[in-house]
Amino acid sequence: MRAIWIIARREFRRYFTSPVGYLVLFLYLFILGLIVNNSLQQAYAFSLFQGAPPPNSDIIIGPMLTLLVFSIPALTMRLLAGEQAAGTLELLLTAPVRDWELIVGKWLGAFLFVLVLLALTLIYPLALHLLIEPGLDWGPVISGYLGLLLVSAALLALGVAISAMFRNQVAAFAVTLAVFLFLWMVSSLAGAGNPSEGVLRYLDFGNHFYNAFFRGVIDLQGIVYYLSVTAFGLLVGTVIIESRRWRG
Amino acid sequence: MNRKAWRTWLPWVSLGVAVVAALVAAGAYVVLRAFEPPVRIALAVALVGLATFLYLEPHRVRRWLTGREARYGSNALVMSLAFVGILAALNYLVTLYPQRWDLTEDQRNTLAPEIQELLGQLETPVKAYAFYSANINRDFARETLDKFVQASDGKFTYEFVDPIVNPTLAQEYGVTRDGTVVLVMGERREQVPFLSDEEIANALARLMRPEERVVYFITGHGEGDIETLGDAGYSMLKEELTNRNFTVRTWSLPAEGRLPDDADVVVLAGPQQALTPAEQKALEDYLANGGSAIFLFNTSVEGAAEPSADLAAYLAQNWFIQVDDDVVVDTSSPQQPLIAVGIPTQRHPVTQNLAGLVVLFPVARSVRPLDGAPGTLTVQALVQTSDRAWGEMDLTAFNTSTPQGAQVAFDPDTDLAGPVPLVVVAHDTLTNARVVVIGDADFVRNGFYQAYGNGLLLLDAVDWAAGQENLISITPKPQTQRFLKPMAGQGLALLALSSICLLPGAVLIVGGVVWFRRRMRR
Amino acid sequence: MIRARDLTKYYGPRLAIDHLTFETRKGEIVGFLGPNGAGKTTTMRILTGYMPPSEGDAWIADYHVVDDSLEVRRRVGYLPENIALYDDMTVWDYLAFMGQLRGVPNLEQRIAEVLERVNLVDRAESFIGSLSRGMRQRVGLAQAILHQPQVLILDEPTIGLDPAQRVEVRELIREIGQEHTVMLSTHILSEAQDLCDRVLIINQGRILAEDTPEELELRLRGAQRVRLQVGGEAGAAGLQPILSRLPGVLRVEAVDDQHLEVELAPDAAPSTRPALAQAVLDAGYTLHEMCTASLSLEDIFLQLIREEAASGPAPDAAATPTANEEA
Repeated sequence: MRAIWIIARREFRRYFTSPVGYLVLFLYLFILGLIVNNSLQQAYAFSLFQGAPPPNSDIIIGPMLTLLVFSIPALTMRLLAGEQAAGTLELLLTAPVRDWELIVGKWLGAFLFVLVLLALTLIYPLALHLLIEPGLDWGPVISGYLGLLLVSAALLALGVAISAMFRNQVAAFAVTLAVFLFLWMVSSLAGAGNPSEGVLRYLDFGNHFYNAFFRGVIDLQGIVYYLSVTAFGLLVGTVIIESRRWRG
Repeated sequence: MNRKAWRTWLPWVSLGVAVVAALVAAGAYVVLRAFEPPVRIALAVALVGLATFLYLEPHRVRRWLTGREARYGSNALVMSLAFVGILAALNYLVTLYPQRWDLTEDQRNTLAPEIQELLGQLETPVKAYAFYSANINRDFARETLDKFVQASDGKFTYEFVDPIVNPTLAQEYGVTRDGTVVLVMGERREQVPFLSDEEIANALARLMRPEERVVYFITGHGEGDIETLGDAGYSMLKEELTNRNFTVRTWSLPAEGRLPDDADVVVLAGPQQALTPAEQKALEDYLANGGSAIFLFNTSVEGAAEPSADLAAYLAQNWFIQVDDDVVVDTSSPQQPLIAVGIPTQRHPVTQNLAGLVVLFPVARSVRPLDGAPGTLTVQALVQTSDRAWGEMDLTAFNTSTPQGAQVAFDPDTDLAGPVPLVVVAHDTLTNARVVVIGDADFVRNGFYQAYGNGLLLLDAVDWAAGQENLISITPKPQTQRFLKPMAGQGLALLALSSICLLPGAVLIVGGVVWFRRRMRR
Repeated sequence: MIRARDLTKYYGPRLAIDHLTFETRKGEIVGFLGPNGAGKTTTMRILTGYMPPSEGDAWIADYHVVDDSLEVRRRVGYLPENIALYDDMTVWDYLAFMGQLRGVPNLEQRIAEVLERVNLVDRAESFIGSLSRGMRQRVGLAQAILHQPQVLILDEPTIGLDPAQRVEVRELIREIGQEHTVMLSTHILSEAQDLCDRVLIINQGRILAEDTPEELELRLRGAQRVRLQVGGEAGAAGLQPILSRLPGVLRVEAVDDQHLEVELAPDAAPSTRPALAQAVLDAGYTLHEMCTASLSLEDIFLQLIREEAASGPAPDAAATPTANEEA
């Protein structure tokens, strides 16, 4: 268990000593800033008309999931694929660290980084709060951020698992993104009336977010879903790393 | 070296062929459901491929089947399957016992307690079919229906149906408008023409407390016919009322001499003969006993016989509704000044679903509420024209011999200045009698039924008159009113600057400093 | 300390190591000697638990390298060949990270000690990416000995080092070898001779020979060779029958007019060489030079391979795995 923390701490620090970490932070905040500003300017234009509803936290939380889907592959690609390509994985795998500790540690390091990323974005709801009388409805902000944390946990776990399968970071990035997009669109693959529609809709990670957390609802089903995906991703990653020790 | 080369790739190629062939065989079997030749051929190919592999790589197979690899492999497989199984079970369990917490300030994701109570009483399963084509957004419907599903303990389910893809079901359920939701409970169904928590709840309540609701269309005086299919008939109105679970019948007042006992609403739609005093007496008795009636009066220039002086006087005295003998001229549509454009003005069960739709009345007369109604009687004008219309009292201009509208002009001394009221409702709270008077009988004929809010106005009027509009009355939730603090151009520019540049810029600077310091240390 | 039994590894159809069986004792420095591609790295990766053997077993401190991988990894320090390090970390941070992973007590003090030992104290705060090849190798070594492992596995520890550094590193290994079991691989014979208590010679995935360097040297030479430069009218060939008759002489070969190569029996008496000189002089020749013909690593391998070809199955590269198994 100690090893998890050691690995997580190193990965976390590494995001702040490498260009990738800053690039992801910068792009994420920059694009989010553009979108939020655009929505705000529009809201001000419309506020000249009577009865136009004021903007709410949706304008901030709405685009954040999309941005995460594109950012997380960049954060996870190097976690194992990069080590494999550089050859540093050899020493890590011959250190007395259990395979699941290694995977969870890598995941946790990336998760801590996303935590920082999400914490930085809190400045937008705070700013909006000051612009609105009598202030923002914080319920959807709380549930929205909780949802984003859960989504991040799940996506990062999948990303770590996919990173474990590759020794090429670019391939890991592309496949991770493809898997994310597939999981995002999976419910639209099933036409209405398809018997598997229910299951596919359940597998869709966007649904659990937009139909609950985004609307200001904390849904136990969503929590369980995201934690399950997280656990599944970590399991797959562990099995892949572990199988190197007996497969061959 | 050639011998070695083929030995490296052949086993794997044959294994690959075997796997693909096995998949093809499985797929073909699923599709064909029999051991047809394609299945057999694919299966044979799979077996040959597998045999080739086994023959060429016996040591590998032995390693796979025995020893460490098999042991660890099966361990990992079993553990993973168990793990995934537990996760699946956990997820399934949560779908059975959903838990949700609404964090929004106004509880906007939570159904009103009255509706939750209603859903709690639901015993028979109800399925909602949402007829939404691909052209309209389903999000709101999904969000609304989800709330019912979640509060219903599995009794309420829903399904989206694309009426373009599946027109038979839409036809069967009498759906004529995209975006209609139909609730089905056993054999019975209710249409929800407009989606809101309250409308679904009301439809649900009607399904749960089935009562026969009967609408009688009075005949015998040349009224519009509910069976006639042409433009002049009322068949669409009848069909829609049937869809709303009304029993629609005709009642020959001259033949019966009295009004039906089981009527929830009677409709007098544009009579061309006056009612006899005895018939009017019967009508008065009916209303005095808490009956409800809807009067559709055409103008006298169209040859309408009612309201006769007696009936007009009765309505004015007992219900404080004045029906004028005039013709509404509406210049808001200059080409057709005789089509009065009615705009809903009051929030009332009869007009609440119009949601901004106007109602077109072809050749209408004005209907006004009179002052001085007692406290037990509420009289309201619900629909009126814009102020560019007036009630023309000089009917000579409309004689068929003179060209239409040629000499018509507003005369402030005699004419009724706009906005001209066209629909008035009255409710006697003592007897619960309800009266709706509308200054036109043609606007719900088949030819006009589908124009704007025409059909909907009358449907909701019948609902209201039948005393069914509020099976579920919901105390409106308090909504927190929010507004943007005013901000000038400079403030907006500052806002843009800080939201786009401040945070990302800080990240860039910190990143740059870190990079530079690391460069220096090398 | 290290035990291997029938250790075999396939890469696809290629056989990398073939039924290796060996054993090392505690406190021994064992050298793994062989040309590139002989299977040294593969064996070491199996021993450290990085990859599994296809067949066979190995134990370190009586823990199975696959079944008790974690216990094995706790007891082993490993320096991979061409070590890959985190270039974006400083030497100190890297050692701290590895030390934490291994749960080294009094870590800071220990890192300082180790840095002293590998002579990197002044580069502790440098980024690994900025270090030279030799320094990186020493960081790798520091990492391997940080936790005072019972068993140290070093894959080509002196590769890429300049001669002075090489001496230093050998000194270091020898020092460590007093307390720990060390297994190192090399393709340099002198290094193995210099450092190891015992040497395993490996080629084409098989152990060809295993012994102490001294014994091995003797055995490898098989017969000692002596090279003679002589002068005389009859030419060197004239000496051939005379010298052949001497006791302890196996074979005599005239290279040209002036040169002879004499092969002596391994158990030839020390007096054989003076007797050779005397015989040359007695035959009326002059003796210009007499020296021991040295054997290069290549000679040794060639010799071993020749021996093997005579006694067992040919280590033929084209042999298929199936053929090998059936053999």
